Amino acid sequence: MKNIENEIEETLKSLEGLQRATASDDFRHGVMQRTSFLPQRNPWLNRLRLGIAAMLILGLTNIIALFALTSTTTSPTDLSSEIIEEFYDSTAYFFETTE
Amino acid sequence: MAITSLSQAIKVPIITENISIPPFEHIVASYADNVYNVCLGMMKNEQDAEDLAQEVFISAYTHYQSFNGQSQIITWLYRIAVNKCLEAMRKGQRQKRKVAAVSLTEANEQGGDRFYHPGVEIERRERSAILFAAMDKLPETQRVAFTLQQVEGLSQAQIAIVMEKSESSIESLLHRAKTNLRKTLKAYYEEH
Repeated sequence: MKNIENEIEETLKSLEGLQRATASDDFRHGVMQRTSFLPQRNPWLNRLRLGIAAMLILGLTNIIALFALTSTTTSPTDLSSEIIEEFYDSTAYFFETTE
Repeated sequence: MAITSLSQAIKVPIITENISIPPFEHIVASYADNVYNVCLGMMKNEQDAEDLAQEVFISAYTHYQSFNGQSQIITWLYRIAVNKCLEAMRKGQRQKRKVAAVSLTEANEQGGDRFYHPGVEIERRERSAILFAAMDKLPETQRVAFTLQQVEGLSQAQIAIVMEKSESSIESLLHRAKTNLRKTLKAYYEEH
């Protein structure tokens, strides 16, 4: 049992003093060669894209809302008569004074 | 003295961020070995490690202009490297699920899964291969923390910066990693 414990401890310590593995010289060269064909992402371009997308979404929402409103709204005369009917009922006596 | 920055502690060339961002060639030249070593420790295959380390630098290059210098470049690179390795490992695991799971003993008996890190002292090679095989059994976060500590030699404070966790949670991760490794190794040595 003690032997196993020693083995475990020795194995756990086996990476102590490990030297860092080094990448080959071709690696650095390969990376630079690959990056030479790639464009770097410009953060300002990304922000501009994001801004345009946001404006498009807002515009679309506005257009949809406008269409929805025009198809459901009643004419001003209908609306005013509805209001009159609802709030100014001629039969109702609002300012009844009690003495 | 408390460690204030990662490059201060790991003795990599200090690049003054916030003042000017250095040319990308300097980044590759300075940190290629660090990134490759982390990838090798995680992937345990030289070709995979080299491919992934290249991917890390490609990703860093495309996002280099948006690097705001708030963190150290090396921290940023380690973080990309860890994420790329985890992504690759998950993909690999998905493929491996189709194959029956093999135990640590079986893997060692087969010999094919044995990994010998080139930086390990010769007399410790066999033991380190057993340890690397046991590390495969660890949960992801424990494995990352343990690899960064043992393979790249980072301190708990540095691992905390890379993994964006508190130092105390890294301490507990490393403790749990060692407990789990002891269990796996015990089972292995009892069979041998």
